[in-house]
Amino acid sequence: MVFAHGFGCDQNMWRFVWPAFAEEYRIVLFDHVGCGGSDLKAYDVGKYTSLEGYADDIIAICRELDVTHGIFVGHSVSAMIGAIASIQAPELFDDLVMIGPSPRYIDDQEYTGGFSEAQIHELLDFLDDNHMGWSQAMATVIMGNPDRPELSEELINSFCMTDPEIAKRFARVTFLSDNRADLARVTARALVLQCSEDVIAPQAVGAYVHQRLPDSAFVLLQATGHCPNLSAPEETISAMKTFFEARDPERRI
Amino acid sequence: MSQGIDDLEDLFDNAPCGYVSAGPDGRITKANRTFATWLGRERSEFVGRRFQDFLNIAGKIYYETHFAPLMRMQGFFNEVALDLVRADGSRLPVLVNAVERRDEKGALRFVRITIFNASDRRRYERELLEARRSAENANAELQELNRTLEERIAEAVEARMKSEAALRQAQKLEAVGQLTGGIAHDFNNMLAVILSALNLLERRLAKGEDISQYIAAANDGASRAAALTQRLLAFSRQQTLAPEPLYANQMVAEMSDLLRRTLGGTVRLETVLAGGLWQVLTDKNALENAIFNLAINARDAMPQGGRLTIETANSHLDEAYGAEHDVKPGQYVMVAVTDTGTGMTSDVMAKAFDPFFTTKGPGKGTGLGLSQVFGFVKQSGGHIKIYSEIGQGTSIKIYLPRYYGAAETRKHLEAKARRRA
Ligand SMILES: Nc1ncnc2c1ncn2[C@@H]1O[C@H](COP(=O)(O)OP(=O)(O)O)[C@@H](O)[C@H]1O
Ligand SMILES: [Mg+2]
Repeated sequence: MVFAHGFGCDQNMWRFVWPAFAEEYRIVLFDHVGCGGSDLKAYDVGKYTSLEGYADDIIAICRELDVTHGIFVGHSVSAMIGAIASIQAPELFDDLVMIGPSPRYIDDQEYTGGFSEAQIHELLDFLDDNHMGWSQAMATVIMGNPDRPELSEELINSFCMTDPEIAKRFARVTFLSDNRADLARVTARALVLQCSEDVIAPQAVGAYVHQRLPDSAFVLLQATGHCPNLSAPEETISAMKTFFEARDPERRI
Repeated sequence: MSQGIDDLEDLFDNAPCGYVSAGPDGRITKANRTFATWLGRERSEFVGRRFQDFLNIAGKIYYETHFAPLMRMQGFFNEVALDLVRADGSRLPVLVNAVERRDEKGALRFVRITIFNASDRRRYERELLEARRSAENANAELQELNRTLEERIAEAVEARMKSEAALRQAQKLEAVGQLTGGIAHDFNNMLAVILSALNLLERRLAKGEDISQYIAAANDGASRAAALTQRLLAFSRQQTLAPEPLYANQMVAEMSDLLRRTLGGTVRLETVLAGGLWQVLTDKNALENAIFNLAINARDAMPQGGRLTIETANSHLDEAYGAEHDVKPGQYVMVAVTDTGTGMTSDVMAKAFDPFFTTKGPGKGTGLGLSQVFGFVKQSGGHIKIYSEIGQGTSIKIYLPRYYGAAETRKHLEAKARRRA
């Protein structure tokens, strides 16, 4: 079972979720290049200008670890990254768990993405403008944690090393992506986990993903926000288990 | 008691910062007046909504992707720069602290969010960013200026080099002109001698008189013409050389008697001959001739007398030297002729190898000595270099390629084979 984090965090995202599957499955956790504990030197501006660059990394990781017929669990933008990887290498995953997926964030005629083009540009401009504010905020957040050194250690690993320039680029790639056409080409079985009141991936988007995928189940979680894996891990785990139990229980990674 | 609660209520409502409390589900239960006033809303409007609902779009996204996860993982965040949206749509820059309050069993009771108005601070930051940006721009401009300066210098240098190349070309043409003129002039003289001799010969022969004197004169003219041709050929590197393996030390030793006589009493001859000197493969006459030419120039440069040193040495010309002086890197035998004479100006040095270039005045110099040496050395695959300082003297070094003689070749190969094994 391969877990992929989304924009803004790193593999720490999964800390409340993956232990629930550790007995049954081999667990693979990683940080995207440019995030968390990844080697920042491996960041290649050209490669990561589209989600395909990130999908290639997932394929490489799975090939290296001999993952076939596995389960991919992707949060946010990584849900789509995993879908792309599964189209390019269908033998890797039999199942995709897509948490808060969005194939396109900007509204387009009939399609509701949740953001107007102007809003996404406002976001990107804000990142450009307020770079210093963000990084300072980040720094204080990380430094001011003397009571729980084990946490701060983890957070320093995770947030300190997120290069603001790379974060900006990742945001740009994420929020300007349009992978709607890829959905129909996914052959793996998919579970779409949709949060209530998710500003980043509204319900209409989750419904769209579910409708376009050839073989998918849709679960609307009680959890609000964009990170049910953190805010409602029990609900997330149970939705995943229900989904896995519905199909052949013999299959393992 | 009620007095105390009123007091606390007042403290909460009119604090210089915004207070918002949210339940475990993230929904706001309470907001203070300060916060409501900042956003231009009624306090009741906040209840049931979430804090991130009042952020601008970037703030919403960052709140969900960064700060909510952070809050969940460490229980708080501090001094996060965000923009709130007022009822009228305008923005309020704030710094936000948030902390989770849990009961003894660890269950989340509520979240306390504290909001500081950061309009001023954000303005400073923006000004600071602006200042940094303009400093960076100024720096970039300066670098651009520097770059163009370098470019301009490079252009000027190139132009200068071009003009120098043109000048050298002109000097070469001048030399060629002199060469042609010189040849014409000298041949004319010699031919005149030969022609007049033949003329007289013809007349005397008709009268049956003694003609031996004219034959001698014609001979002389013809052989001088032949010698001139030889020197010209040497300069143009087309003389016929008969190279043989030889030891320069031995040759210098054999020449020293003749050299002493040529130099006269005021010039002392010294030889510094290297032990274990390698062989060279060269034309013996041509090398002798070259050494003589150099020795005679040295003598001419020391009218008051002085010291002439002939030195030999094994020498290795490396890649760097080779590249700079247009000579193949490798092993050479060096023969240096050094005097304590007048020295040369850099002007003279630049032209010294040109045929017919002389500073010695008509009838004294031919300007063909060094050009001939130069031609010979180049034809032999060697290298020649002048070191000279006004008032100190001159040293002219000839480098001829090392020759691996039969015996030496074998040794050389053996050594090579050993190295490979
Ligand atoms: N050893 C030396 N010391 C000073 N000047 C020299 C020396 N050798 C050559 N020169 C200069 O180089 C010129 C050219 O020399 P060369 O070609 O031998 O012609 P020439 O000896 O007939 O003048 C000389 O006229 C002299 O100016
Ligand atoms: Mg001379």
